[in-house]
Amino acid sequence: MIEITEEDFDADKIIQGLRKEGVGAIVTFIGTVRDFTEMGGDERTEPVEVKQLIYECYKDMALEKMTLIRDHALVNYDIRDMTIIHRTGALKPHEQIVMIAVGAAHRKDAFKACEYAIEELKKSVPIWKKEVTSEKDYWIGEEGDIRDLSPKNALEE
Amino acid sequence: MRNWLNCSKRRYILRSLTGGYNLKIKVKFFASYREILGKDEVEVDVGEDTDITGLLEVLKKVHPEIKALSETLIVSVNKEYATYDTILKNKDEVAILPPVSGG
Repeated sequence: MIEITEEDFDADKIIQGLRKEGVGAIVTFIGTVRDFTEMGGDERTEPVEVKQLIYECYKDMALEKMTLIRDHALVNYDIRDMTIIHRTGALKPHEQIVMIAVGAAHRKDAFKACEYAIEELKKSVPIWKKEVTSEKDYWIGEEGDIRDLSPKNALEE
Repeated sequence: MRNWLNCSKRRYILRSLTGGYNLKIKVKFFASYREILGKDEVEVDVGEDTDITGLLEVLKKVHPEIKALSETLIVSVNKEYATYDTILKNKDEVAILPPVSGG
């Protein structure tokens, strides 16, 4: 299943959906809203409180890219199924943001496919987040952000 | 009315002959770029054989605010990441994308 939604998702239900024929290992990754950030858009080292993260996406393209990630994982790893779900809108600390769930016969490929999917999602899926902190609001990836989000990375597929 | 039609027709023929601005391109902006430009979508007319580089030049003339965005913009054409030499077709949907930050 591939989904982008403003609603919260039921992680247990997604996991139950992967308990099926041929599956002996389920690996999940859930990204949640961290209540602090060390980014701040400058060279800050002291953590700042995060009030919320605001996510927006280019929905049609994001869904296509997420489908591509799932298709690629199904071809390149020995897995039975994969669900990728991502939320948009304003999310408060500790809320769920994203979930990757993989069902496979054995754990090894399930772990690998799960890691591949979340790393690739962060590189190529057109979703953006704005950090709203106790001090200021800024889009992650703007000038000053220390993470490497260069066009080169986003274009590599 | 006749004059208007004639004028419009003349302009159309002239543009056809000179490779005028007859492709309609929808351009979408997201996240920080949407906020900087104060709009999420514009439509621009470009000529035949215009590539992304050409489109950006036209965009900068019509919407000078675009100059404030990054030097190296990530673009997509019809929901696929595209290089600057991609030739545009009528009714293509182009998006100018800030560096992604999902997850």
